[in-house]
Amino acid sequence: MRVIDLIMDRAARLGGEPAIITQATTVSFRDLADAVERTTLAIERIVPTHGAIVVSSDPIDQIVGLLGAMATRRVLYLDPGRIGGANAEFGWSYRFCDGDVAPTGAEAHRWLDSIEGFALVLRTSGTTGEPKFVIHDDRSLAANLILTASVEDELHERGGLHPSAPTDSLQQLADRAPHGLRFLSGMPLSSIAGVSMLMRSIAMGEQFVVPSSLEAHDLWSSAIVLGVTNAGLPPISALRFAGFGRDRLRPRPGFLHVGIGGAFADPSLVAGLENSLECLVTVGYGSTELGGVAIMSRPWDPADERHGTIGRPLRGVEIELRGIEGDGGTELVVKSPSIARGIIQNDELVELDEWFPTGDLADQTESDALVIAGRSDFMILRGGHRIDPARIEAVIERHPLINRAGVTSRPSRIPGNMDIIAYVSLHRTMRSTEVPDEIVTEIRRRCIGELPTHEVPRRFVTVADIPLASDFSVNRAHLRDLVRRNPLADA
Amino acid sequence: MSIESAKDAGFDSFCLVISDYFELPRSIVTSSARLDDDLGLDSLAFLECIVMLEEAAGHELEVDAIATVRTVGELFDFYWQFVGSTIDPGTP
Repeated sequence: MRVIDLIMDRAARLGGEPAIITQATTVSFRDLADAVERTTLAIERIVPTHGAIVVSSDPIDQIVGLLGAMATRRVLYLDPGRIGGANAEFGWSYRFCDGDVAPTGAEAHRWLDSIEGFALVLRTSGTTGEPKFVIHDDRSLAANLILTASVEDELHERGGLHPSAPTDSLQQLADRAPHGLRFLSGMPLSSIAGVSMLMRSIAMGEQFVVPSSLEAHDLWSSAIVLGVTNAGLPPISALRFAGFGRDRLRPRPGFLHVGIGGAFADPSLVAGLENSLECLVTVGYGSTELGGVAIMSRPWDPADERHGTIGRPLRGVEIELRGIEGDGGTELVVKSPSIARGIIQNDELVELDEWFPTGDLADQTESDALVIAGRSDFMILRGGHRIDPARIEAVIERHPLINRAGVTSRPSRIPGNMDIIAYVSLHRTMRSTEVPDEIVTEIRRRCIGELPTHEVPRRFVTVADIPLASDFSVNRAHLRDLVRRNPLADA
Repeated sequence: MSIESAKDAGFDSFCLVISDYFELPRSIVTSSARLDDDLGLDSLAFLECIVMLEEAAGHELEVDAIATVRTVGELFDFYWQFVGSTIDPGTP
């Protein structure tokens, strides 16, 4: 059994029950299955076995196109709408748009020849800023579904699901009744987090809500209007939600559970969100290469563990903490059954090692929960301290007028040290992009009050937009380039 | 110009230099402002401060004596004690 078989089996059983819900329409499981069957016929008629299909950024197209490619065992790329005319460059030879399949005129690339069957291609830049295409397939998507579903087994102390037995586990999932949950993803469908939540929803017979946009206000109102029970949010949206939730006069969603992931989540943010929304909040850790979440805090973990750690590996995931030379801390290395099949490099499909070095520094608590201490490649060295820029950003972004912050460094006049530079952007609702001096002073006071003195930025620089990666985390490579091009930050 | 008024003018210039050098708003660089808790200057920044003042003074300062300095006013008093009113702090 494959994930697509599980979804189609759900559709046959649930018929007219809602599967996909938008503000404009509700797509039942029966409607979804019909659309997938039509798409399957169109793809089989037009796209050869090794054809690569690019899907528009329309969410319904993305969902139907993804399921159609799974059913027909073709290669699919979910276009985040950023690369425009790059179809030829990357060999996407067919387009799926408005339910129709058509050639793009581009030639398929060599790497496609090495792929048999279904493959999902995701573009990621992550924190390194280097764009790359990550390839997932039936195996990795099934493993991710089993990993996330196994949390419920842990709660009920059942031992049934395990990613090492995917066929049996998927069959077990098919026999489990849905809970009537509505899931909302604050991450795009073109990300592994978005795909993972979509699979988790419809494969389990739950409902998947498509928000009107991924802006925090729209996510919040979609969650209220469409009755969302479970949400997965990047930290920046979680921060906005915590602020909305503190306004007791504002209508609020009836969340049962919110998961935060995709970037560093400040412990005070997790606790604040839980208090303001009065629901359980957990933190997940994963990456595009790992096929989604691999480590997470559990809903039944004590509050301090849920707030201050990323929890423990999911069942079937193993971790190691490997020392980095010269007291550089320990890097988190993960072995997950949902690891990607490979990445595309120089027009070749390159398989990933079984153990994936995440590039994140981590420590383990006495209860074996993991704490992320920042990126190994973007730590700031100052006064003998290794400073994680994400922690400083989290403090700055708590200022109500600041939209995003990106923290980087430049060489200090004291050799061997770095000065901390904070780039900040105002909310778009502000008429100016220039941050007034008094706001900078407030932010500086906030940093002084909440951070050790050596972590207080030397300089605050206003920019219209902070460079972001596809998962909404700060694009640190781009930020570092900004400073390299202009060492005095704005002089 | 009396010694007091020369010192006052010197303090204003001193605050301006600190403000420019550490990229701080001039309004928060006051006599009572604490270097760490109000201005966010860590030990490295303090070291830079001493280097800057030494460059302005044209000679080394007694670092041991400066260890007890906590505020902008105390730092200026220390500086004034060594360079007096004859030296304009200038810019680094």
